[in-house]
Amino acid sequence: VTEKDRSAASGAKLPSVLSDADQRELISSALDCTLIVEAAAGTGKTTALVRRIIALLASGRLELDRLVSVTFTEPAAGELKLRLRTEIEKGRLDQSRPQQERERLRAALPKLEEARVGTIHGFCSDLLREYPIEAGVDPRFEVAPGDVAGALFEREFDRWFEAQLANPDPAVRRILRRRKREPTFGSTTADEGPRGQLRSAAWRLVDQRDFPAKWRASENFDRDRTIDVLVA
Amino acid sequence: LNQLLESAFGKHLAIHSSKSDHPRGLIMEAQKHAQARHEGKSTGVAAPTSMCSRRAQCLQDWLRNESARTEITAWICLIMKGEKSHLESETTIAHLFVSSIGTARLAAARSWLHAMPTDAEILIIATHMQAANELTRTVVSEGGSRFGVQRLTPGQLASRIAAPELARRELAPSTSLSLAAVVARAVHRALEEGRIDRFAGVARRPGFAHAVVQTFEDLRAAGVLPGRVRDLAGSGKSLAALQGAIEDEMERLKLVDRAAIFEIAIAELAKDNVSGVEMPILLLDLALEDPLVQRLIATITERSPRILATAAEGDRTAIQALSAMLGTSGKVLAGEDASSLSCLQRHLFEETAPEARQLDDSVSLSSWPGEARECIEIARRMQAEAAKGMPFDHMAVFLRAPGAYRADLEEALRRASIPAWFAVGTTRPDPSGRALLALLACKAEGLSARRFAEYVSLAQVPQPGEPAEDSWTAPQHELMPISAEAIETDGNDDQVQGENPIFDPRSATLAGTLRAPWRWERLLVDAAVIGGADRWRRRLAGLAAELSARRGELNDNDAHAASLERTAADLEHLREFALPLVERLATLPSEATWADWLLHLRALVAAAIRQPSGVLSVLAELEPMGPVGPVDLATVQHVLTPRLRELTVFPETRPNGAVFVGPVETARGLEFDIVFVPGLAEKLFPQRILQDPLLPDHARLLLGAPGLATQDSRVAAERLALRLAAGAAKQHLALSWPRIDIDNARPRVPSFYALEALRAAEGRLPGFDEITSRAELSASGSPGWPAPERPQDAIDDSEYDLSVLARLKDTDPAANTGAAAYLLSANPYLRRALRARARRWIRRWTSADGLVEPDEEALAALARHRIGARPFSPTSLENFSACPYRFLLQAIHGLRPREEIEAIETLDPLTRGALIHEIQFRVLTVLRDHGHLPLDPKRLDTAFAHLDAEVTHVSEEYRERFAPAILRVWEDGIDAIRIDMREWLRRIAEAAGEWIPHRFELAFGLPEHLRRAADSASVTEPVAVLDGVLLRGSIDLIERRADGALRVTDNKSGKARVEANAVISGGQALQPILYALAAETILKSPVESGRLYYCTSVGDFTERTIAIDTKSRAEAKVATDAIRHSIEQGFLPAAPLKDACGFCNYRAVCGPLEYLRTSRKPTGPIAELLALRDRP
Repeated sequence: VTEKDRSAASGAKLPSVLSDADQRELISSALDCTLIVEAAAGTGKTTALVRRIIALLASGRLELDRLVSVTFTEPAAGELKLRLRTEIEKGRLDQSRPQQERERLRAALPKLEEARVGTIHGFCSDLLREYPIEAGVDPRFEVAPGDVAGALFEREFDRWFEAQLANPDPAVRRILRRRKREPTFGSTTADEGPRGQLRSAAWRLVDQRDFPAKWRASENFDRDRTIDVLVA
Repeated sequence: LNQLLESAFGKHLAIHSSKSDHPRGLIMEAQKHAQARHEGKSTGVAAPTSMCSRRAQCLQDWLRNESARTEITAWICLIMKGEKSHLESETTIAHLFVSSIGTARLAAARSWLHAMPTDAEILIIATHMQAANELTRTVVSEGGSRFGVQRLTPGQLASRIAAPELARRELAPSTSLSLAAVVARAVHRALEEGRIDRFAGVARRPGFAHAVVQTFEDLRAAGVLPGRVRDLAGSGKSLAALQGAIEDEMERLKLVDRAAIFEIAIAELAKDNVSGVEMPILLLDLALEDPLVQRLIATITERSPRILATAAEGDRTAIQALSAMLGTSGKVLAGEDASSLSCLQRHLFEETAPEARQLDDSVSLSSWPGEARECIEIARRMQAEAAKGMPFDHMAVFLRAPGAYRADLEEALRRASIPAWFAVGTTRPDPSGRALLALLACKAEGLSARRFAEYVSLAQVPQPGEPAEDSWTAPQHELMPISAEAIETDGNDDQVQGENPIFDPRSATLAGTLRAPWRWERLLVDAAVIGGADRWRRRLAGLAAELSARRGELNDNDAHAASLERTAADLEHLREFALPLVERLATLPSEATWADWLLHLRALVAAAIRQPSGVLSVLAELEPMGPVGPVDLATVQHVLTPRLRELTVFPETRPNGAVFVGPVETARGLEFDIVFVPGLAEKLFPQRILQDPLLPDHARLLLGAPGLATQDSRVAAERLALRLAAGAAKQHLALSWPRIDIDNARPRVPSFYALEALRAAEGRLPGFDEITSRAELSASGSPGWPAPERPQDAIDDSEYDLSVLARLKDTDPAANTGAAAYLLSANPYLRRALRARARRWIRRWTSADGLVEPDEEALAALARHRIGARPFSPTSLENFSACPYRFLLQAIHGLRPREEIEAIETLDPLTRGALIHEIQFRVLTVLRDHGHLPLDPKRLDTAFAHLDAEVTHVSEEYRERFAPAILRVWEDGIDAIRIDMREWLRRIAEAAGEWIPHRFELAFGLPEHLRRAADSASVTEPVAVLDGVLLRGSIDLIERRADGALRVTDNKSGKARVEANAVISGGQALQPILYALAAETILKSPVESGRLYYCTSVGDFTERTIAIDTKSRAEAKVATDAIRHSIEQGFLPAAPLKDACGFCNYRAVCGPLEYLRTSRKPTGPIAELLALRDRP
């Protein structure tokens, strides 16, 4: 439904200036401060974000290889990147812009591949790939897809379980003593048995594991204060 | 046109050909004249300077084709320039021809080659051999045979030039693989000496050595010495230490890497030590990012009399380097904005853009749901083009992400019957590499059966009896000075030797797969705590004993017997093959020098790998590492894993008529009428641009060495890849992307390269919404119904059928009667399946419901199974009430369920039941023989002692025979049985006042060999009860009371299922009554009751006793009569009790909906069955 349709349906004329126009303008112009934009779906957050990036590029405050823009889904990230490319082109060809700004936007084009516009997972993955020494991970690590991870888990669990059967810990022995209920007609849920219960528990452990350690090595880093400063 | 030709050839040239009207022939003739003129020869031809009108028309027609226009323009430009230069200088003539259009560059190259005498020695240097080969082939096909054309890649050139000097200095070339081995050792030493503290946290990870190799090769290529690296902040000191350690190690081992080989070659050229290189050189679309390649080419071109270099526009590094070394800025053919394709080729990634215009037929952009569908659509388009006359070898697919597309594309082209040739980088994986890795993992994990099974699954098991192949194969690497032809021959040998077209059912292998019992590895159970070749022997022997025991319980006519015999034969194959190999693995050293390892590995490969040449050639690369060591198995695995996991089949020479499939880099130096570039999606093309993990960009910039890649050069390479692919297209460029990532069930979006392509072709940048909607409009399709809209567009039969059905399913059935009738004539199996499916769901009983309305022949066969004609066991008769079809499959057809491997944490129920029965029999026999029956509660301790002795005796016998997988599980199971049997015995003692065990395992109707333990009163003949119902079986226990009354007991080791007041439980509990009637007949004494005794804690020692009286006899007769009538009528359909299918062994035969389906059928024919189910 276009604005024209909505206008025709309501019989009312749309206001020529949006009620939050000043806030939208602020997003594009207040380039030296941190902003948090909260708005409903479909109100133009992505558009505002792209405009802000273009303004940052045109003003010379930013180069694309120094940009991080993360979102939650691959499609949203991809769309953001395509819109960014389109808006750079528009800005580059916009004769009403000063020559210097157009030149900056032109200079941004060759660096579009380097712009870190992606998902949070993708950004983290890139960081780990580029800084494996600092992160303490294998430089050639691969992210296991679900089916591969499942197969690896099954293999390791089976090995562990077989070892436990040969010489069970007291807790495992207790679980093993529990008999598996035989299936009966009309039963809708299957009894997993001791093996199934242990496997489920192990999988939950893998799936929901948490890393309570500090995420930054620096001892003096005050995470809460830094966040407060950023959002102030 | 005449002006153009005259300006090219002037008045010196006569065009007068009677041989060909084809413009290509005319132009070639013109070139010959030009060449002859330069060499001062007479053409001997008069000079009509105009062309006859027919030829002119022909040429004009040809020139309407844009690619032809480009080609002729390029030729003419070259000829003009060549003539001019030749006249100006008699020394070196060097040309650089730059164009975004591959056709133009290749035309220039062909023209240059045609201008050379046919016996002139010429050197063609190309980034990949395919380009040089294709060019030579085309030139020969156009101008006839040539001699003296050499084709080399820069690596091969360097290697050949350096080879004599390497030999003189006794140096051996190292590839990335042997370098990885050197690095692994250097890392190990440096760690021990504390010289790489910075990397200590990750240096032992398997990927670290390979990351170091990459960085080391970059540094060496750029000529950066450790001293400069040491000054870098952060990792500099550690990295320099590592670099120094690697270089020291290589020097000690007399190894040279790629950089050193290039340096030696350059030095040899500079010292004039190389003869035979002073020849014309063609540099065909050479990639020159590597400074070593740049220097080598610059050195060799210095001594060449004539040089032509071609470069793609946008390949700035190559253009700059070539301009510098050839001393010319080059001729740039800009082309025209004639079509969308030429616009795209000209403006892609440039700031310029054509006038805004609509996309024409020369460029297409589509999106499809998933990579697999994208490949199918590519195949469809190829078929359509071929139908219009386009040869398949004029089409190409360039892949930026071969891993994501190779398998799908291979499958799609196979389905569409399109011949294809896959270049290096897109060839199919060679399973022999992963097979060897699986064997090494088997050794590393304590001779793991699962790893061994993984090896077996890769179809690399050699044919038994075949002699082991020669265990040395030349390494396949461009740095090895061995001819490519020799390598190709070696690679192809595998295909021939590997074929095993003769199907021999007795052979131990079939197409490289060992015949082994299904999921045999689970039976071995490779707990990490237990291992060794001895365990393999014992477990396999145990399995064989178990199979033999099971087979012994069946008669020869039993269908399951044949299955068990096959399984036993397969197990024997496994034992014969696996045990020697496992023993060989067991003897692999824990640590050894590389020389020893290579010896062991080659022997292992010869014994275990069916097509070994790929693996052997990889091992050959490690030859120079021989003296290094000792290294352990983990290091060997780390070094070999990346190479062997990615090992691919070496491609044969590209045959005519095959579509070209290659990585996008292979577009250099190639041209095709139609080019497909799939995967223009985010993260596929362009791929992620990431910095080197050990030497990031800021450090590279500080080093300031030219040729060290940074993000800028990586981005440029990515863009150039698309430009090269687009430039290779002559008539059409098909770009596409997958809308969905099927593997991860996530949507995909086009990359901005798709936007760039459209901008270059159309002159304007479309928005995100526009590009996605346009691509979707041009390409319909859903992953749920993979078929084209029009059946005639289908690539194979299955698509055709789906397409036809898709059109029918949403339309009025009456209007489409017969539209899919062709399916019934497609093949007899489909016809039968379709008809059976239709019959199953109609509201009457049909032959698709089971045994219904059999013909005379079937009735005659069924007559042999009538009640009274053959014996049945009571258990099999009980199946009838649950479902007549189950009874038919089990009792009449003898169909046995496939045996599932039981979970190992409990004793297999079948084994447990057999153990319990045997223990009970033996205990009762011993007690009777010792006069302890009836069992006095006061003498229970003595009875327990006998029980314990028998439990121990029987369980040890079983354990020896079956060699249980995990002893703890077995012992726990035996302990549980012991406890249950003690309780069982205690309860017998309690009841001793009333019932005394009298007969145990009273068998009837069972042949002698099937009775492992039987009572002396047993009979071999079946027993007739009721009105001639013949029975067979074995009664667990018959007890006698003081007054002579008898009670028959069937012991159950499972859970109590029969209700308390049941008589026949709707026909599902016939054992107590039928056994009682059989016992009466055998012992000629009345039986008072029949009893089901759930004699373990699982069944809670529950008893179900049924009085044998008139009522129960009548109930049993109701049941047997219902069965009798059904067999006589030949009416045994699937009509299950509610929920009976849930645990039916034959569910795989019928499907899960039988109750629902058959509930819709008339009840009249199954009235007797329904009445039976209502009986108490």
